[in-house]
Amino acid sequence: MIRIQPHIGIVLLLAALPACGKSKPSPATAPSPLAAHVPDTLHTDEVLNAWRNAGLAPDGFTRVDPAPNNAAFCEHGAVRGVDTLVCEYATEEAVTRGMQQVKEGWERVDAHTGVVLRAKRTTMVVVDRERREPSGKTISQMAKVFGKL
Amino acid sequence: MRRFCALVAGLMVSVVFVAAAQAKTVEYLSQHPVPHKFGGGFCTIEVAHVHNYPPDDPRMYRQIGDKFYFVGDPTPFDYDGPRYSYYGAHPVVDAGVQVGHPIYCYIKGPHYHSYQPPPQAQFQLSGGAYWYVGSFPPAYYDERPRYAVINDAYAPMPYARPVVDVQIAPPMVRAEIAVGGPGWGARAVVGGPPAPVYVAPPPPPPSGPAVQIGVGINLGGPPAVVERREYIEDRRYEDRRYHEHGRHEGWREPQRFQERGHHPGPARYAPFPAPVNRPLLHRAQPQRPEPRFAPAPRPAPMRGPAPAPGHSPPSRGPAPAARHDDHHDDRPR
Repeated sequence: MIRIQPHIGIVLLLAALPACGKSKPSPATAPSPLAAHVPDTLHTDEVLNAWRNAGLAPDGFTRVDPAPNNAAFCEHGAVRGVDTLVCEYATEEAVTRGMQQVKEGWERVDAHTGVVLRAKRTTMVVVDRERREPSGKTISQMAKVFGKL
Repeated sequence: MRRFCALVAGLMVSVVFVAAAQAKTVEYLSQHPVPHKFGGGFCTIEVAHVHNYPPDDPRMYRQIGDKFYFVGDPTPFDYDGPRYSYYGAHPVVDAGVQVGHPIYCYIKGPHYHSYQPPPQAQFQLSGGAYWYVGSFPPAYYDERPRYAVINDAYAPMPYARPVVDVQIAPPMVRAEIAVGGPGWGARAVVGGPPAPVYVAPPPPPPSGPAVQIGVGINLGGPPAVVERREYIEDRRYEDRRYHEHGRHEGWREPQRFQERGHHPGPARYAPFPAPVNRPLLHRAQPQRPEPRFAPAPRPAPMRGPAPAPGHSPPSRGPAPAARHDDHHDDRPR
């Protein structure tokens, strides 16, 4: 018999809720083949390269399509095991709204640590759900490098 | 069946509410200690971030809206980053954090912070620590009763505070230099109308030097206020001072420290004997330095008005242990 831990059960339950009532994907959630880097802001690969140069070894970053939180282009991966999302936004309003959505989502994901920062119209979102680094050293280093871009 | 469904629905609601309560996030503006039940240590993230736990000890924080800013000394929490020594209260000059209004650190005596005062801030590096030499606005005094409780939070923590040579305190210290903890007596005497009352000091013994480390005058604009601070160490501390060669490392248990060159204090802070009114710790007689300390004459009981604005309070010569009840009485009973 498979035993499901209570907290995993809650996560599964909450994750399943948005699926209720959805029979087919809406056009808004369909993959957009035209998604590309946003001009006049930091590109995700610039951010990843900066982290790489700082010895942070970003790992497994892939494009997220469709981009979440009103973003135009996003890449998701991990930096030293910490969940990381880097996004480019087309407008100032989109950045503001996107960051607000991220902050509102902290409580839903029960993040042990969460950080959202912006540089120009690019954001970095870091979520440490599994308490991989309570001292936040990696996140702190990521934030410093990102802040200098 | 209906009863069973209601029970299941109730359980589901409870579970969701419990989950929501556990998932409550708290925003921190900078670095801070991690509560013991979440692993302890120190979170070194210097930008605004969230955690799923509240501060362990709110006395070490300022709450700005729903955000928390740690204003304490990070040392007892396994902090291993850069740190800078401070002495006494001062404005918080953490360049990485802007809260829209000045906030103050009320930690008494020597302590550390992770930030260095910017060059334009009114700090003076002296005796191994930064001393705030500017004047405090009324907000500092208004908030002091509320936030000085941070000293209660740190008092029982055994950790190495910075070594500070209090004999070379900045000559124009206008800051609230409070010394506290066991072995210390701090007296702040604020004059001007209405006049404070000086209570008769205890008679001094013929020997038993103590050190007065701060007598300042602060002419802070109209209405003129004369601020006089007297910091009298008792013999217990003084006895340790001889071993520490004038350094102050807080009020933890005395330790042996590496010998260091002695810095003679400026004339303004020339140490001299002061009354001691409690039993002394018995220690081996230290090697006394040259007779810089002259025996203090027995001060007469003093009761009278505060010094008039513009009148320099006595900064040299014998100092009675002026007692005043408008400040924390840190003298051990």
